[in-house]
Amino acid sequence: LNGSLRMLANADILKRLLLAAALRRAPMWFAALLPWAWLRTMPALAVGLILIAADGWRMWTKIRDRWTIWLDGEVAAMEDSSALLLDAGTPLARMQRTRLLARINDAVDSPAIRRIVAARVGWGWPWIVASVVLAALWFVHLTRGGDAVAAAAAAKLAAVRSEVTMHVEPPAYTGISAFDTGPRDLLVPEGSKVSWCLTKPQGEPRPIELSDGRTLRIGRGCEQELATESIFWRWEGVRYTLRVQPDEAPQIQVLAPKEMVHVLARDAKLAPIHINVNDDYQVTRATMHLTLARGTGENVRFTDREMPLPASSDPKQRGWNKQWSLAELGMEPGDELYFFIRAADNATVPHAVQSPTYTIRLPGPEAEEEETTALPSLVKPENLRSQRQIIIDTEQLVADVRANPRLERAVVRQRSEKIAGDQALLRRRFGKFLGEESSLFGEADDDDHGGSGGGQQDVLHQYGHAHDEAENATLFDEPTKKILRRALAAMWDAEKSLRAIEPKPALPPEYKALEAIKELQQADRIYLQKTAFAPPAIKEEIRMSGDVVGAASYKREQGVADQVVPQELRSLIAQLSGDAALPGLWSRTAQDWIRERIRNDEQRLAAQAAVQDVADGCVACRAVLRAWLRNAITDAPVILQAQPVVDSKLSRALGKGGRP
Amino acid sequence: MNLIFLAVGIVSAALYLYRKNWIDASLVLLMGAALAGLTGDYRQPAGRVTVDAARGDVSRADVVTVGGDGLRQAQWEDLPARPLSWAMPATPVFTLDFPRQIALGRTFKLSVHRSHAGQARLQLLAENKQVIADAAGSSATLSVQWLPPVAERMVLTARLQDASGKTIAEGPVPLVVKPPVPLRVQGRFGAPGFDANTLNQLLDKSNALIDWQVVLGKALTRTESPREAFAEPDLVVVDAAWFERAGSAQRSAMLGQVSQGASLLVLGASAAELGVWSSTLQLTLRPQAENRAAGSLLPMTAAPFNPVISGPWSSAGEFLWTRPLDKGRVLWIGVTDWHRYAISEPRSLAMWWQGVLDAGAVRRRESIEWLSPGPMPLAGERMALCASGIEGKVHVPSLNAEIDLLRRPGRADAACTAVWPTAPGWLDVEKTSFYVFGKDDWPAWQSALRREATAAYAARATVNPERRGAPLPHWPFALLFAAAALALWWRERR
Repeated sequence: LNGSLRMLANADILKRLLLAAALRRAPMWFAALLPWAWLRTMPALAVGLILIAADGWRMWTKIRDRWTIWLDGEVAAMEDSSALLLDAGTPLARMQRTRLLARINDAVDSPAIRRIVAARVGWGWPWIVASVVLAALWFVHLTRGGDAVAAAAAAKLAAVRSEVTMHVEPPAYTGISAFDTGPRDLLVPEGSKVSWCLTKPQGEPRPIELSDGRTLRIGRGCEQELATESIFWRWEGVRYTLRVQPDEAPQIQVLAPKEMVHVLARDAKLAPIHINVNDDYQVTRATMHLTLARGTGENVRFTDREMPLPASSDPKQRGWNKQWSLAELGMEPGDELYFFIRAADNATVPHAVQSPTYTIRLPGPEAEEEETTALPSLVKPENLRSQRQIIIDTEQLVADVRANPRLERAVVRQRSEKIAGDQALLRRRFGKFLGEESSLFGEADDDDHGGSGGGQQDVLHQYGHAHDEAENATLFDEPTKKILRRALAAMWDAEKSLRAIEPKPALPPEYKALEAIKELQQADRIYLQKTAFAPPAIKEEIRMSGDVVGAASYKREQGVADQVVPQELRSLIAQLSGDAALPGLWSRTAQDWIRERIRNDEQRLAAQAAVQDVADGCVACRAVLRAWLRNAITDAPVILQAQPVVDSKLSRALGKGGRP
Repeated sequence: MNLIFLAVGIVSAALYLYRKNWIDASLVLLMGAALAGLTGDYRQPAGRVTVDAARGDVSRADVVTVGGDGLRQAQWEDLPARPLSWAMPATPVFTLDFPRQIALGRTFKLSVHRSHAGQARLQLLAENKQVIADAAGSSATLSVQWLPPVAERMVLTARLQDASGKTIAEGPVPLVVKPPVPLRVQGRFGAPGFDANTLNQLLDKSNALIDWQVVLGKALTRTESPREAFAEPDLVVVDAAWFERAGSAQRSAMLGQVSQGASLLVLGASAAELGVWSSTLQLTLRPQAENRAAGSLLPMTAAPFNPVISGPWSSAGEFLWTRPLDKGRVLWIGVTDWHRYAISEPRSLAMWWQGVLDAGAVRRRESIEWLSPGPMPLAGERMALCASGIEGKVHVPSLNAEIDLLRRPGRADAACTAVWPTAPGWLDVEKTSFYVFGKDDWPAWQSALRREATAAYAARATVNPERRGAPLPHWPFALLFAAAALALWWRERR
């Protein structure tokens, strides 16, 4: 009995100690498990649980081995004899144990147990820290491992993808060597041969889908395409863009002279000409064409010359920056030199370009120029700003002032005065046709000739009727002169406003002047036409007396109206509005429309991608494709139509009483 | 009843008092009072009951409070009118204005009305995110216009950006483009010219059915018969010369046709006999200055004679005069030479003509009309669908239901039903469709609509007519009565 009592007591105390210790440690275990649970993987949770189990086992062994000592240390009533509860060899010890057993229930109560545990079982902070650190290490490992897995997957994918290789062979003239590459977005010169090959062909060949709807079946052999326009191609669900860089035509820059018509100084000895020709691959031919014009009036002679531009070390570029001496150019005072540049590149079909024609003029002696105006001509000299240019200058000035109200006063003034100067020059030029400028202001009465003076001159003036005034000495008839006067008056007005630095009010008279000048030119032309064509006289007696032969009443059926949008496209758009299956060959219709109408490469590729998406069964992409197809319709029709009104009972009832 | 109980109590108390039994007297008085309280309808003193419209029972409230932008129209409609305590927030909002449905060939116009003006940009984007119309400005209202090229149903996107190009708001703009109904036109001309020919081509391009007759001489007429025969034209076009030369029978037949509901367009350029016009159409014509330019957008030449506004005639726009003729309408076009724009500005010319047709009230009667279910129907909200010209059941395929349309007060001409669309997107009803917006679409517009609806509710608010307190509870009276009765019984038994 004593033995069983002892066993019971031992087990009871041990259990209570364990329970108390477990309760004390439980928060720690919970805290230690949290980081592992946060990792959300079963192995991590298992590790956390194992750690806790280990701690529990350690605590259990500690309590099992030392509980008697703890009991002695804490409970004085045990009289340092707790060990006897486990083992009592001697009769004396057994007697002591019996005594202890008798009082053990009172002595070792719950507060005592708690005290023992509180003193000897810690909270286990180091454990939490260790657990967190371990869990963190695990986490780091996991993420790295994740990356590694992703990298491995990518590598695997790359390995799969790298089965297809591309061979790009740019045209020979580009000088770019052929190259092999894996599938990726590429920029290739126009006309390149692009081939797709499988490195390890096996099984059913997987097709390469091109953006224009074609498919290339690559198997044992390669498939080749000529890159003429930007496309994308899809292989195993991944799209790659193959952009085509078109071969540009050579670009010609004339850096000097800056103006289209360059007037050299009278005493100039040199004429600067600076030309640059660039091409994206090679300039094969670049020549300067010079035409020298000499003489005036009917006696003009032309001399043509062609000079190749010297090649430079860079085949993409040719240039000529040279101060030509006038002797080299063969120019003499009064000559004009016209030149332009022609260039061609090395493309299979070479691009040939030509620059505009530039003029270099070496003015002749002043007197000579005056003489040339003996024959009135309305063609203005080239060094004068035309009325249209004056208008453009003025409008530019007005726009600049409006755009930037704080434009400097001096700048505005200078520009306005410059335009006024141009206007004055032009006015003087036209004034010459009327003799003198003064004739603008009040014409002297033709018959009112002054009686002063005497001699022969006087007699002539008195009895003759010589209208030999400067104005009348010109070859223009009266109506033309009227228009000229109008033009000059308008020019005066414009100049006045411009001199007053008010460019805006100068515009209306400038336009008036332009109109008058155009009228003059028109008048000239009409005059020439009249001299050239003399219509046969109309026989008045047979006029309006003919039979209406061939003119008869007719009745015809109204034709079918032209449709701006083709019927098949309209029905395709209608079908794309729903979710139903699309008809066969729909993608051909869509592709044709896109290819025909969308010029921008980016937009075309996006539209073709939409076609591919819809073909893949993407319902949401239908709206996008519809938008692409719709946007390609550039000339949306305005359709004349009636306004719909509802014809309900109420409106009918109201309509009976009143008017709509 | 309660007065009787009180009287009985008082009488009994008086009897007890007669016996100088003070306590019993007070007890029986208490009983009477308690019984009166139990049977009577007593209420708490009335005060100002304030209820939050979003939560509480508004019917009991004296004052309704609401926070933020307020409630939606549909929510307010369900509440009785009460004075509202609400301060409108000052945050910037905007409303969008666009037709949900247009006919092909008409211009779609989207306007945004902003509460706070400032530099902004409005863009209209197609489903592929390409900008199809764009407008910038600093006024409170910005508009973009677009001419849809095909008849279809689409959900475009509108984007509002600030001065720096940052997107302020972006959301769906649903639009149904219907195929147009071809116009039925009868044309009679006595002075052939490029103008009439241009009009014929314009109508032909618009797929109109054309019955066209040009009289070139006495025995020379060119006739174009319509693709499909029609009985009643929507539009009759004549030039003044034809009208003047036509016999009175011909004229009165035409005017009779017009008075039945068609529109008569008179090209006034060839008018010469003023008497005809004043006698048939009460139209006084006045000579115009020679070669007078007319119109600002598309300058044309004014006709030699144009009407004076008098009698039934009124102005209908620049160089347009109109008068009603029974159910129909007559429009005088006082310009000529529009053919000059047939090649240079075909679209502007067609738009000008469409404006003329609209000014001339060229109408096509339709039997069914669905009314707009408000500016922004939302998913999960009640949506009222009203139609005129339909009675009985309508089929709603997306809800897979047949719904009855019922007459509703306030809608004399239409029958209505309500649906609760669950998801945003198109809701098909019979042959038409409505777009249901998502809860997150256009938050600023939703705010503006709430503010509008809340302001409208505040405007219709009245004082609560039953300004009464809550009824007093009955149980304290019953308890008091029982206690007093027991005490009296105990005292009597002693």
